[in-house]
Amino acid sequence: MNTTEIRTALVTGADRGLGYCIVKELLDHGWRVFAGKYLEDYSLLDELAESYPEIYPVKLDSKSGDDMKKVRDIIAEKVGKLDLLVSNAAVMGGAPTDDISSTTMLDTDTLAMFFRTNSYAAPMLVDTLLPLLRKSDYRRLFFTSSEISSVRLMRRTGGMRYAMTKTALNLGVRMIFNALRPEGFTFRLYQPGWMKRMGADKTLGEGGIVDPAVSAREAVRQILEDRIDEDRLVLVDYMGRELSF
Amino acid sequence: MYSAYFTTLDNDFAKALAALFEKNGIPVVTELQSGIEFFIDTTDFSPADDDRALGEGLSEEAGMEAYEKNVNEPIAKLQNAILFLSGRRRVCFLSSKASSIQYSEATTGFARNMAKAALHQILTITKNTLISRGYTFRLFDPMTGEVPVEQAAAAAFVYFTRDRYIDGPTEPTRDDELNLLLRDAKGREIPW
Repeated sequence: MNTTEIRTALVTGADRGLGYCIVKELLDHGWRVFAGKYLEDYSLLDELAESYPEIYPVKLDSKSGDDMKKVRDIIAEKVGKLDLLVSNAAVMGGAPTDDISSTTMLDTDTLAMFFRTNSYAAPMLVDTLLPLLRKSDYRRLFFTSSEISSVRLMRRTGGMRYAMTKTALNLGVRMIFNALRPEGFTFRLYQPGWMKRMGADKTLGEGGIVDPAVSAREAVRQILEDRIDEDRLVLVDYMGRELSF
Repeated sequence: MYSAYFTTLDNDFAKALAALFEKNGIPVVTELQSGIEFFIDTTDFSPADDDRALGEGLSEEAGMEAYEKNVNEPIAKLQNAILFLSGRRRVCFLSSKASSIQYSEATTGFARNMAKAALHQILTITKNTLISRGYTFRLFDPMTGEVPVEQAAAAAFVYFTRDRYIDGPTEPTRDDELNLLLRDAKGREIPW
């Protein structure tokens, strides 16, 4: 790499929380960042743009293949390649309508929407951006997963909606790994911890135990550091611990 | 007499398996009714365009169709059937090695394989929810294309109808039912 060359990343789900903090960390490390914007009531990315010239907020709804193509075209026109993809966008929460033993029928439309956003969007995004990623000599792919993706360790009796999407995501990442590792792509699968929710004014909520800025710092450390064994796909948490998945 | 409820009989594997149930004196039904001991879903749906590799244009529609057919529809059928199950209250689904995060070597079939992976976790949580009420679970890989359908159906019949035991100090216990496993048509456990 030319020492003056600026690396380019795309971060999805960057309006707040982990995604926003990863964007800021990468900018602080001198990266150019295309930041996926979805939530209309959050303007933190625009505020960041006042201090960092190398941030480019882009509209990106992870359920939309059209949005993905538009973002690909924007990056292609402005830079011509993509070094790092941070696939972080996810939907969670909502009314608890996923208890199979309930007399209330499962909300299968919401289950499908969660799968589309949290799981299937990841390979769709890689598929769409692959021409740009292949032009880079860096070729690193980062995915935000969760410890509740582990089938073997699952002990819960509810909350299937989010958990099943992260299991499916891990399988999708395995398949992407199978396909692209031989081309020199490297992978980071990350468990960010139970993070405090970030409000539109950057205040952190009461729930959660991890400050997203702290988790993002560790995420970016894992992104920037090469590993001894890149041929092994591993799930690593915000404290650097490898998890069963 | 207890019966086996098949959510569908529209594929060769389901037909071969249903024939084995009948041959062994367990009536096969396709409508919910009292006295069902086995809930059997043999759905394994791969949408058109799911054979595309990365860079060839993954299909948005394929992803949602695979999820609907492999997860949403079978799970809704299971929810409807829960109160009809009695006896061993056994819930049986199909999956495959291609949906194993540890074992999968697949580079195509994103929609189908990811939907089945989601099903693994849904069934695990469902098992956690229902095990205390006497429901038991089986997940089976028929090794489609590798093992003849009749042979796979025979392996599934044994796996679905046999109880699992861990020998305790004085008598067998059913503790092993606490763990949901994916077994293939050769009897091997496939890791998640």
